Amino acid sequence: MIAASVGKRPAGLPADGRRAVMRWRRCLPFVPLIAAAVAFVAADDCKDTHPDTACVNFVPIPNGAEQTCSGGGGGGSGGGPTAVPTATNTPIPQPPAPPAATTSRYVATTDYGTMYNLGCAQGARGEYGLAVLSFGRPEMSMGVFGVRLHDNNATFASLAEVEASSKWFTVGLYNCSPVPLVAPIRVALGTSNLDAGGVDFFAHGAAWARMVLNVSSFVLTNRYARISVAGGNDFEADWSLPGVAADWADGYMSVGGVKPYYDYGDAGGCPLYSPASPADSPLDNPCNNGWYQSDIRYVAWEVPAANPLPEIYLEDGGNARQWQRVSLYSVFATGSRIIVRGAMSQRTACQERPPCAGTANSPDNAWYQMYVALNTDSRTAELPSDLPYLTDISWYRDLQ
Amino acid sequence: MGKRAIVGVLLVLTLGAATAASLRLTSGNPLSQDKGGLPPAKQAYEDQYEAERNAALTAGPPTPDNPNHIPLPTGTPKPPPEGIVERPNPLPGYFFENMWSQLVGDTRVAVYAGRLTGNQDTGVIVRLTSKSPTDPPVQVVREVPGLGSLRVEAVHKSTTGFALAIRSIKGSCVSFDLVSTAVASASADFCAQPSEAPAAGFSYCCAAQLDMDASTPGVQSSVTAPGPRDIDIGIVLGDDAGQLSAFNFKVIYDDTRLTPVATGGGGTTNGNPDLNDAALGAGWTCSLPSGSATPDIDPDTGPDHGVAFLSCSTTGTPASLTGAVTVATLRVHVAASGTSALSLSEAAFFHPLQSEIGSCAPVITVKMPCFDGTVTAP
Repeated sequence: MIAASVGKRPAGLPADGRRAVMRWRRCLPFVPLIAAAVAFVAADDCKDTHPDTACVNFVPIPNGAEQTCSGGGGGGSGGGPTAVPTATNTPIPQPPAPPAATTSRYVATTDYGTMYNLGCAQGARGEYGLAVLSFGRPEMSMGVFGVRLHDNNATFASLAEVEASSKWFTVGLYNCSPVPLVAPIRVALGTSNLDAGGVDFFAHGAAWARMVLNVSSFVLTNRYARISVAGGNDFEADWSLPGVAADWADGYMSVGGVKPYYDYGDAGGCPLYSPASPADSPLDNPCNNGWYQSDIRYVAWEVPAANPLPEIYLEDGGNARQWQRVSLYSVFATGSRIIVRGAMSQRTACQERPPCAGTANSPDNAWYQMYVALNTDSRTAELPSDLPYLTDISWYRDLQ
Repeated sequence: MGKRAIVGVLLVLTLGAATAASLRLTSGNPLSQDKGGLPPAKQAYEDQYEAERNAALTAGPPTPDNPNHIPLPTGTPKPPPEGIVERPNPLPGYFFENMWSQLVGDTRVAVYAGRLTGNQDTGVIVRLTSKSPTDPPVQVVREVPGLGSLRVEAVHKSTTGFALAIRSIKGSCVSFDLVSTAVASASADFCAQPSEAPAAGFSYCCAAQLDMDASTPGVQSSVTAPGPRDIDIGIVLGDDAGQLSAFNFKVIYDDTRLTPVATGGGGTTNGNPDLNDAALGAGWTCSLPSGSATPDIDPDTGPDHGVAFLSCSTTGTPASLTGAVTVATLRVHVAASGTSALSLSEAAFFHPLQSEIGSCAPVITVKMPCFDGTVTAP
């Protein structure tokens, strides 16, 4: 049942499926207590606990073998409650429509007029949610921190230029917004962990955090009530050793009063969720380039300011299943899942600069794959409202 | 049943508390957007955002002042880097070790070297050409199986212009022709030799040359001219320079062997040197130094003291140059037998907006090869 529904919209779900999951979700802080209670009676009648009594199916199973209620294998548990809940097969709820996708950008210029106009175009469309301005990899030139922009030539831009152009983006975004003001939009100013050498990533992270604060202060001073500002980083396993990425995150966090940042990167090389191999084990699995799931988790979630907004590019849902496994690893390692805040797709970028073989997910598919992957396992499940953000990245939209 | 009752009570209590907590989280400001079940440390950030939003709303946000979405004028893009940049941002499907970038005429050429992300054994070379750093580029991809990741080591002259020396992580060396985009095996020396392009960069398309026999098709670097007689020497800007809006140059010679010729054709564009109006079009103005009716601004005589100078620009439509174009002609009189060398100096050519095509002796920003000439009088 679960396998059949991964990667596509499940059919035949009960009309109140979402409500049932919401009830379950609200009980998350009480999971250990409920798990113990359910285990207490599991031997009597498993089916009585599934699913409409909410907070379902935390059935401790010896030896890690999965046991379910609805799959025909119900029966006694034979074991006591454990610290980590085991997998369940709570039906994947029918989600509401995905959130409207915003436009994120590979930033190719810090020209003020251009950045104003890009913000204006998004404001005119009334976009809301979260949009990333991805400025390119960290760089230091002549003793000045900055980035290599996403133009065709990797032009250097200082953080002062990034800051000024970001402010102009927010000016355009606000001043072209419909009146009365529409729902809020958060602008995440992003760089990456691509390591070319010669950059102190801890110091760059700290400088980036201060730059984000400066842009946020500008927005607050101007009372742009529908705009908030955050940081961002395209953390990708292939782009640096894990310590480099962690350095940046730690540096970002070292600044007082920082704004959150969003990890719009990948979990490259990490294992995928598979119904045939649900990986109910506390192993910290390896990913690409010396990374482990714990490293992904660290920069995307463990750092207090961090929030995962992963790239869900693969059309076969592989990226989403990797992130579900990172969340599951978190359950084993810490007793709680990570909360993925949404998804980033690259459909527009792929249309602008093909090819993107197998990685041109539509925004809706990206969000839906993420939602379904998380909800294939009750321990990583999230409500739709936990994933409020959906954004599609572009190279050139609104530039011409 | 007793156990069931206990569990039932527990469930009711816990669900009740949880529901209350959830309801608390979903109330509040209508602009609230982030009310998930975040842990307290992360929820604190959201609470701070909401407090800031509320403060702005309370103070009264300004009315958006551009309801008609009128765009702002955009500025001139900042000059992109010249030469080699390490670890540029990847493109989907490719991971790059480094890249090389150069303005060629009015086209920016960037060559990325690295590997496929999905196959680390397959090297990849991507050439992007674009008119603007933010324009969609024309992309040519060459995959090189079996070599592993690639990186640009140096730039060398080739028969078609210039070729990049590219080394694989496994030690092999290949050449990548910038024009044909052909990839070929190369000797280890090809990758080991220092680049012929200085840090300031170079222009491979647009060498400036002295055409010592303007009456003969093509560019002649030497001419045999029994004296005494006048000869015309062309100052040629090499292939496909694109838009030309300004230039200047000096031609240095020995004015005891080649004597200046007064032409006096009238106007700033018909002196000596003489602007090639036919090729460059109307609207040009040249700054002729005092005494420029004769092509020698140096009062001294002897080797290198013959100095012909011309500096021209257009306020009209820039000339659009394809192929090799003679931008001006210098007339000198062959006065003595023997071989006499002429050289270009302070030569610089510009696109509109002072974007440099190339320069030599000295290089301003973009190095341009300049080729000299000789006159032999039997």
